[in-house]
Amino acid sequence: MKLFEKIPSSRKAIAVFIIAILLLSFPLYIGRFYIFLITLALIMGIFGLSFNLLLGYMGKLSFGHAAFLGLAAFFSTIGMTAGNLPYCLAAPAAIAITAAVAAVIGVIAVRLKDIYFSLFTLGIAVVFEFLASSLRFFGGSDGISVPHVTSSTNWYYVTLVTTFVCAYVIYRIVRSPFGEVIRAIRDNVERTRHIGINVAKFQWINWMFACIFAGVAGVLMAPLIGHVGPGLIGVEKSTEVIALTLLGGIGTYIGPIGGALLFVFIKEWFSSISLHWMMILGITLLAVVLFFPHGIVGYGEKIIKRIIKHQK
Amino acid sequence: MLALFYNGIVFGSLLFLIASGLTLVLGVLRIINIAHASMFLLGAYVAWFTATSLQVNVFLSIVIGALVVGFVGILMERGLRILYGRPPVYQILFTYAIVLILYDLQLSLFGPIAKTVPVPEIFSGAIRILDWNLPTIGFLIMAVSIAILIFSHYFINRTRIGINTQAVSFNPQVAAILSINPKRMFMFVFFLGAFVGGLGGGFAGMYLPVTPPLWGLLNVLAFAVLVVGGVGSIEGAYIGSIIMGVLYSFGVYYFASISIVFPFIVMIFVLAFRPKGLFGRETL
Repeated sequence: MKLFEKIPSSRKAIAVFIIAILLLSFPLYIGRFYIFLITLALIMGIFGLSFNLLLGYMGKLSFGHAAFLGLAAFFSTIGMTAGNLPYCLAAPAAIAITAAVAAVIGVIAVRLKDIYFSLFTLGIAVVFEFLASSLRFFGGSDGISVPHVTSSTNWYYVTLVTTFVCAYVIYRIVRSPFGEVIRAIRDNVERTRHIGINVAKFQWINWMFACIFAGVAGVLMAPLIGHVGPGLIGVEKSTEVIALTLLGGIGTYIGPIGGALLFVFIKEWFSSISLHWMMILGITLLAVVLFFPHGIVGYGEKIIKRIIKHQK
Repeated sequence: MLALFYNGIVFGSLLFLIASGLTLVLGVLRIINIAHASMFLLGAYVAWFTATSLQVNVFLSIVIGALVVGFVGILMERGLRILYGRPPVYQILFTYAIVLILYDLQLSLFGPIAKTVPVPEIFSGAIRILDWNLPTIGFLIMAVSIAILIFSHYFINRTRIGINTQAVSFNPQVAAILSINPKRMFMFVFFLGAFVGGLGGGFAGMYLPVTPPLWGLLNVLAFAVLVVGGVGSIEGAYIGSIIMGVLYSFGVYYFASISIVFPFIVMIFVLAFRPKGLFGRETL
């Protein structure tokens, strides 16, 4: 991001303008299937950004982040089917419920050290997946169909706008003094505690941000895929978000969005040619962890920096 | 009631078969091997394959399975070596990648249908105690887990290699000065942990039909056991396993649909009020 700040602001404005035009005009010349994929990628991007608040900025690896995406998706759907609410009421209600659940879980979760945090969240994922597939309230293993909300093109625009809002808000969070504190805690818990900062409180707030944005991704996800089931809430979706954040680059701000785009398209492509998607995902993760720990965005920045140095 | 207790203790012993290898690796190397439950399943699958398709003696095929899993463990340790200096997140991610690979491998090689390792004649019957018929296989599982408990205890506290591992776990640099090779020790411990896991998997496969998705549940339960028992204490792991097993067994009987929540609630309480575990000496 430091690199980004070095670019003169006039050029930045032009770049942003071009990207905005491109994104807004996509539905005019791209088929419906690709619009679906891009919408999915944007939602996974929000999800990844929220996850990166935990992994990148707090240094804690959650295996259950999809629980909050799934909860929001489920409750928004249940609000529409059982509660007969319109979507624009069901969605905020679902996010509120998700936040309430996250608040309780978070009190315990943030107090746990890295290994225990991962185990705890893995447990959350397994339990939620189990509950979703066994309780009738959540539709059992069949899941629930989501009522039609609006056309896919409209949904693309809704998602696009929401993504930008979320990305901006998360950017402000990360760049604020609050974000500095979160990173200070990640780098040295003891020292931060000794300068008088309530570590658990700050981490809890950060956890809440992460879970609420996961909830936003969830309520966007439900109408897009048209059906919510246990697969949305458990370990599998949590894995996907880990993978895409890692692909994009841990701790780089824009990484998860780049990672999400790459991830969604790679997954689509590989799933169509081979059944061994998990294997490919595993090998990719392995390679990234071992040899490219900074992800595509991290390496992209490095390469650009090197080019700039050469020019000078 | 007795039957429920029996089931619980057998299931607890089974959990110990997973947890023992896990606690060894966790206690010495400070690495959480999320893939341990997958390796456990791999042990069961290899044993199943050699016993049914190749017609090898069951006990021999369990040992073959354990050796294969041990070899996988050595390979993993090779990869993990690159990550030793980095934050623990990377190590967890590494083992998670292994989970995905093993999962896909098991699914595509052995299929989604549950497999059971064939039970030898002597253990296929049931023992009649009071009014209940208790399957003999359960007693075999208990015996194996107790054997592993005694062996691990003896190995860690009484043998030269075990004491060396403790030294390496305590401080690798000082251990290196005392002419113990930490790298070799790490590799050995990882091999041993995986071997014990594979061995346990082979025996567990006689009792519990294995499918690849079982990974998540077993993993969470095994880690819950470690959390309750205390990390790095093999006796704690055993007691934790039995507690969890009995709780799970009663949970399944009385509240089938939410049974999984029970061991987990215990784990949450232990984490919240006694993070060292009931019998643990240290935190990670």
